[in-house]
Amino acid sequence: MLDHSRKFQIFSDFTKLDHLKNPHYLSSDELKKFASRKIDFAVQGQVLIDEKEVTLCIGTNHTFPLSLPIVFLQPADAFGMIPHLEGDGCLCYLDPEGLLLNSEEPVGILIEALKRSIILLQNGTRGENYQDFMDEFSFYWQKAILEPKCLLSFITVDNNLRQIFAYKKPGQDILFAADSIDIVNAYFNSELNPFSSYIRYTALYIPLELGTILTPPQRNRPWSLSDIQEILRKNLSLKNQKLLKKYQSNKKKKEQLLILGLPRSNGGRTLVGLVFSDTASNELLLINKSKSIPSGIIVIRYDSDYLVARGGGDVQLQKVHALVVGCGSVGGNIVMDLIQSGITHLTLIDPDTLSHENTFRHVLGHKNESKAKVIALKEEIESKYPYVSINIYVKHIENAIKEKVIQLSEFDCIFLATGNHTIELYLNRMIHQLKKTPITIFTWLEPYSIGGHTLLTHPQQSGCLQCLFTSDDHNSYYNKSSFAASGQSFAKNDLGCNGSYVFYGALDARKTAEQSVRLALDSLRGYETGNPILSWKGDDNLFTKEGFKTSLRYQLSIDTLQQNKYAYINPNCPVCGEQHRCPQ
Amino acid sequence: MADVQSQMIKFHEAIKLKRFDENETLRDKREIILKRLNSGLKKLDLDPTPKYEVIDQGSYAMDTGVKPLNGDYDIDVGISFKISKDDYPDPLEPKKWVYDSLVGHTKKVEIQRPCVTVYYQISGEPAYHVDLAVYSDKDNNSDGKIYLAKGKEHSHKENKIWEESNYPSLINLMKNHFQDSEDAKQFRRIIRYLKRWKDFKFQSKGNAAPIGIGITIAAYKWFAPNKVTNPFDNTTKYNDLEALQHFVGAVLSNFQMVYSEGVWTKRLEVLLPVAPGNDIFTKMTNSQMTVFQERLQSLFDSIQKAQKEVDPKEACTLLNQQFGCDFPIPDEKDTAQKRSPAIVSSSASA
Ligand SMILES: [Zn+2]
Repeated sequence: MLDHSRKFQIFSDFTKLDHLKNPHYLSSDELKKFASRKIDFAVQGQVLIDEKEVTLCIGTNHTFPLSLPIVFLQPADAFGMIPHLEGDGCLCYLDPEGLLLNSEEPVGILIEALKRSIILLQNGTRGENYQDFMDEFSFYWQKAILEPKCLLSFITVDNNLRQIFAYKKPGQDILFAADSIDIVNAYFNSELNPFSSYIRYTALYIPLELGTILTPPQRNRPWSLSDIQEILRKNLSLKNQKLLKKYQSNKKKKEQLLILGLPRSNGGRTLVGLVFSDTASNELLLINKSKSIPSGIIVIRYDSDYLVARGGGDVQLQKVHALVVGCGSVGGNIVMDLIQSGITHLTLIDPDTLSHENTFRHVLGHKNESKAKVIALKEEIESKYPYVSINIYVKHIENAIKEKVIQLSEFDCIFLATGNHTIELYLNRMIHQLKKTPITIFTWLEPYSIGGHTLLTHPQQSGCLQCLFTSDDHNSYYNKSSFAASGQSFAKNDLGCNGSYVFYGALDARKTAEQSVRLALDSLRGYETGNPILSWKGDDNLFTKEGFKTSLRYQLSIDTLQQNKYAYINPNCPVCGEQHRCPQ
Repeated sequence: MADVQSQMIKFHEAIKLKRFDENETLRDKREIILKRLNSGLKKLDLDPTPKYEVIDQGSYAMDTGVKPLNGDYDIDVGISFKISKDDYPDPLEPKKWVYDSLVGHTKKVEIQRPCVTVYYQISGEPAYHVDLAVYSDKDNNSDGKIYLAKGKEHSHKENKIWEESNYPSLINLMKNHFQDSEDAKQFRRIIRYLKRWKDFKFQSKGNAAPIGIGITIAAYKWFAPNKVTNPFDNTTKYNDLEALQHFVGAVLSNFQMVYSEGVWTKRLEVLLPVAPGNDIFTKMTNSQMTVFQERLQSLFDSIQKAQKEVDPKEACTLLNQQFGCDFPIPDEKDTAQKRSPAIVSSSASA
């Protein structure tokens, strides 16, 4: 990056500004003690922190000024333990993620780094940023443990102190903790129990009160039993203190696991584990001077709250049960998008098998050729994602309803992506007659990449698929939202009659699926309470080249399409019109 | 409110007189007369044989013609001689060229004040007449203006005049009035509706009826297109009945108190937007004007009533009484049996 003389120039410009008292350039011998930080140039000097003079050393590695300078407090323990200070005195004065450095101003970067380091030390000595300990507790925890051991946690992380279970193979360390083995099986999507040979014993989950601030243990100053007793005495809610008493027993165990839930300022919790040997749980509540040292354990969260994207707001998307009808190019993408959005309980219906002609359009490619689409999708999802629940039916939707294998009213959200509006209009009518009401998304593609549509309908509310086909003019029957002028036929017959398919790209399908899943999420979260139709508009080059005509609606600008997303609603619609609604 | 737009369109189809290029019989009649004029002029032994240009004019040229109720179709043709009015102080002279060339072609050829008229009869009933207006061409007049030869054979001298007339440019004015071709179509439909109403409600003889060109010019001035564009699918729906209601209302509001024939009375004045710029309705007497206004008001009331009707049959019955039997009244069966197409193609896929 910079040669030695240029670096020297930058540093001498910096030292001239007197931010450091008695600046001293570190010799190559002196630099050796920072070898692990790969510093090739550094200057040190004195600064005042709340009237106490300390030495700060500011150095750079070879990537400077594309990376931040590194600042050390000398000696490292000049202020005891304070947040963002590492064992060797290195100060984490800024999170390098999300920063933009102006490499044209290397001197400015040095000044800013030093200023922020000084502020950090001031806040630390005054105890103003101790909350930061809690927010980065796992970092300090890992540094403090001499022989790091990990366990996987599947427990629900909340504010309820309770008994949980720890599991391990005979003769080995604890492997995981959970409220029950079912949760672990749910993670692996396994219906059998592959952990039946594991040893199970009870453990405690102890959540500390919101606002708890603890100084993390250090390698040379680990938490003792009495430290922990004091922490519990000071930082448990009354309810949890009572619960802890309830679970205490006099029986000494060979091994006792505690998982502490440490609150973070953003509302989440960091879990840390402690294993006591030869301790009775009733001792936790005693006040004594026991110096016995439990061993710390690193806890890695695998619970679904932590792993699966959460909906936010009032709705827990994990509780949503969605039905996807039609798992072709659009439907397949919808299924994958739903899973990644945290909707993991799905029912899929499609009678078709994956054919080799679908290879480049379907999200599954040709890996599962001639397998039923829904079976292949289920396998794919379960191999990729934990905590999913997928029911499948290799059937036509109308048969699934007739045979009562599914009840539309059981779902929270229905996606209809069959490309068959005859069936979908029939289902639209059926859904609007339900008492308990799922939201429904109708979605389809236009030919030759001219666009795709997503219509949302909340039953018992104006605006439905039928509205698009209902006009005052009885001489025509067509889809008002269509970007293709009505009366044109698009079945491309190059595969013969049975294989006739409509030309479109995988990208169109993905775009349409994404639009649909976004709209469904908006509705489930309560951001979209109406029944809009969203249409994306593609280029019509290919379409017109093939001799087809676009509709007048296609000529509208994207803004106008967006503005008029409710304008399709027909108050006289025979399905959703006021006079046709069933009494609530 | 009943939607009668489809009946309005059917009515229009029934009364619309197609333009020359679409109407064979009228086109043939016109061609025959023009041929006869051409050969007739040569036979007159004038030296030199006057040159002329044929100009399409009248409602055919403006595409506002309606089928006549009495079967007497009229065809308007302009014969613009390449002569200067100054060389022919008597405007009757070129008119007589036309008359002399055509006389004997049919049982009746007459010189009228504004034109020469050739009458055709079928089994004794008037079937067509062709009005030939005679002009002095603008290129041959020192002031660059077009003049119409006016006057009859035995008129007083002061009635035999060359009158500045820019009728031919009226055609362009009307044609270019609306940028949007669909608006222009509604404009012409509205003119035709009112012209048919006029034919149905007034005697054709004399000046009792407001003349068609007056209605056309009134529409040029006061008609505004009436349509609704659906913001969702961007389709446009025209409402002819509402457009007609607004137009008739505008015409009514333009009746003004004037001092005429020694009394204060309400009259409608519509000035020709081209030379000679006269009031087109000037020939109507005060009492004729009053009848015109009353009948227009009755039309306006019927339209409003029809607009409020829920049943299209009732609405159309009201309109039928104003426009005559060409205005269709939907059959109950029609409405009941109306079906949307049952199998259509879909552009959707997934
Ligand atoms: Zn509807």
